[in-house]
Amino acid sequence: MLDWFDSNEALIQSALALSILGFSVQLALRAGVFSLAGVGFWAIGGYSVANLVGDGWSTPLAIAVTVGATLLPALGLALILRRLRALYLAMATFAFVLIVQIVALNWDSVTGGPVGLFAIPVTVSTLGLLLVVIACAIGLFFWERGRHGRVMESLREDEQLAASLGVDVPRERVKVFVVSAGLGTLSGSLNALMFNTLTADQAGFGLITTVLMVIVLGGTRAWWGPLVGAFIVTWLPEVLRFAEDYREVIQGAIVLLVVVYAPGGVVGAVRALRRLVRQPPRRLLAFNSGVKEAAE
Amino acid sequence: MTLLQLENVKVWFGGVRAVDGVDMRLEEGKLYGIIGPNGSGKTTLINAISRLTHVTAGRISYRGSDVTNAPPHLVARAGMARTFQSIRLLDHLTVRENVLLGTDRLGDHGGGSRRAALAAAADAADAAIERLGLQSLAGQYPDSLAYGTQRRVEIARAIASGAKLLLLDEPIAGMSRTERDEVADVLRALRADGLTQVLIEHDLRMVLRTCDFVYVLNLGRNLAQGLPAETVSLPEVQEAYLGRTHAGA
Amino acid sequence: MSQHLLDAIVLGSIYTLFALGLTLSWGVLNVLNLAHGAIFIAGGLTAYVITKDSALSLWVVLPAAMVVSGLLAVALEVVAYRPLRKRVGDVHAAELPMLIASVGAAFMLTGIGTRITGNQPVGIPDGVFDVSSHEIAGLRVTNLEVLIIVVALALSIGLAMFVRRSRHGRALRALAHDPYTCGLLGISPERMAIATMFVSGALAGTAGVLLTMQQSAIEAHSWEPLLLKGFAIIVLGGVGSVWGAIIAAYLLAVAEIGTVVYVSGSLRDGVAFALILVLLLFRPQGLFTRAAWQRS
Repeated sequence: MLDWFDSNEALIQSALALSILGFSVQLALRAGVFSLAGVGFWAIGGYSVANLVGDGWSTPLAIAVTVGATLLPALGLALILRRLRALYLAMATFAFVLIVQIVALNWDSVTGGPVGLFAIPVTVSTLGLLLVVIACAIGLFFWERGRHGRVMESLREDEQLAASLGVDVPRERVKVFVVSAGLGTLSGSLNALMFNTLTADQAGFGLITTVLMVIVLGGTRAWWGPLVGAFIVTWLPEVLRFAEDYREVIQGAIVLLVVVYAPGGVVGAVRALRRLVRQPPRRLLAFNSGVKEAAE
Repeated sequence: MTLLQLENVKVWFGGVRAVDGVDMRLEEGKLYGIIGPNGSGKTTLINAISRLTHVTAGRISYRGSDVTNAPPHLVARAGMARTFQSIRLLDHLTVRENVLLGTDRLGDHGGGSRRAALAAAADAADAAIERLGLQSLAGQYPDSLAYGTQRRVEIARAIASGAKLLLLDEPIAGMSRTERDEVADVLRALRADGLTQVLIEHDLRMVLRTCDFVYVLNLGRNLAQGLPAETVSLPEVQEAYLGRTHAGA
Repeated sequence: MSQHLLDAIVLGSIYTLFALGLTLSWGVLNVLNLAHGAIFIAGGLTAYVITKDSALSLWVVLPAAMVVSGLLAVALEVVAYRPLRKRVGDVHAAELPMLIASVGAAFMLTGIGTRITGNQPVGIPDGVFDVSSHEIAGLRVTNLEVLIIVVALALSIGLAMFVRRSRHGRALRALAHDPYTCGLLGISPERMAIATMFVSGALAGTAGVLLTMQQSAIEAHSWEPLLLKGFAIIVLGGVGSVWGAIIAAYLLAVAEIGTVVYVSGSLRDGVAFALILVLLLFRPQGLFTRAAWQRS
């Protein structure tokens, strides 16, 4: 068992770090805030901690300060974009991510330009990463529960209704945006201090599509969706190794099929199974109650 | 005491004058009906009062404060609740959770711990569910319910919020005769509890049975107002409806 | 300076052909088609494949590429977008799933493209079109560049007039407004959707062939920088507006060339991204509100 962990440690680390980015996007999407800005903050977080730790800062302090400091620009961005919805918001955050990438490509002194940063001190252990992921998971578990969970649900499904029920919609959306950005920063910070390199091409279109795949395959309707999704996405190239050159094709096909035919991802599939086991199909129930009514 | 006052309220959408100078005064504890032919601006008026739409001109005062430009969540938190013409329940929440949603953003009333507030909210939700006869369905999801039942859930949600002013937009559409009578009983009981209610309705039987006072709108303006029986039989009111009376559809 | 302007016009022509397809699919069908870039490349790759062993004339190659790209877009509509719209019901709620489906499709197509190109840059042999350089009014211009400009203007202006004047164009605008009513009026939304996607793909394929010839080579991933620029263009021009896309495409090309010449080459791609952000903040409906199909 331990051998498996050892030989797959890098993959496990990748998956765990990716899952935090997955949490970032899932949290936003679930509240109806179509923000991919977390990916941009992933890059900002990575470069920031790399520089701080390189200057001698302690890791926990570097991460804490980075996450804290980026909350302010995240708030600014949220306020600037607050009137945008759905695809327009997605595009704006998409553009933000790519602008960050361009800055990264050009700001040589901080980011190493196109060459990137190498030999970043490795100061995050797998255990540390795991603890952070668990903390995030617990946070998300409570985030989507009870009163707060219901409010988030109403934000996504029916904003007008939410407003008429007393939900301060603009404020909640900004809050979601900022928390999502913070998780992105966290993910990028941990990633940089774990894998000791960071190049600008890691944080663009490719990462956006990767995290979207994490969300789709894992499912958005539960806190554990991004976790499962991150592991699937990280392991998929391994599993598909036999396909060699057709790996991308199969990956794309899987995403397509899941989105069209199993839109809930793994979360959706598990829940559908549970419901099937618990309740007989609705049509049967309705037939029964119809018969009952006619008999009365 | 005057709970809600509308002074020459106008709601225009470009060239469309949905509401074109409406005056209203709602006294606390009464059940008001708003009737009028389709397109007379009833729903737009409710949207304006609940602040889901802009007010082009005029003044809306709630409990003495000017709320003409207030954001919707503020008037909701100040004790206004409404239902919509179309069913607006959340499909992924159970009946009970949908009703609880009515209590979720009203803040904690007075001092007291969060736990106490949550418990009070749960009690209010359960009471509302019982009031509308939904106890056996509390764990179901909206898509498995009949249309009329879904409407009852929405009314329960509005009541659970503890609102002092209830705005109901055609709440009994799609209900059977029995259900309508049951809802009429609920509304009357709520009035006995001191709630102020505004009912937009096409079912004149319902209006005559439950309302203390009736406003008739036509083409975005006040047409008539007064006691239900008298007002409904006014010739200009009859004419406005022009043969489309729904006396007990 | 005028040589640069000419370069901008040629670039703008390519951009126009690319952006038109995007504005059609978004404006009419509510699809943010991230596979559009891959379909664009498919046009170029089709040309490469059929001319590998025999130098066919451009007048065969170009239509062939248009048909292939058009059919790919139609396949996407039939396999992914239509079932999604049907399942989700509300066309706005279907936007995210369609976006993700397009990501999956992009992956698939790029994977196939990589297989075809063997991960090398590929081009079209010289025999297909004899490129000759000329001097007109002191400017150096090739007949290829003239062809690009002429084709782009002909197709784009033709499309603009078609949409504005013809019965089918009116049907398209009706479809954008309300597919259900469209059906009631005897216009088949499904057929119009297929036609729209075909045109969208064919235009992209045309751009792909022309760019391949202009640049001498393309790779399977060459579409990546282009895609977001396409979105910048249609946001600038107003989503759904054909005239808007045309004018915006040339404007962007001028801005980009200007940036390269007068500011810095490495900031070139940033122009489009900054444009998106600025536009979405201040004028999300684009420059041509009246012609655009509004999206709230």
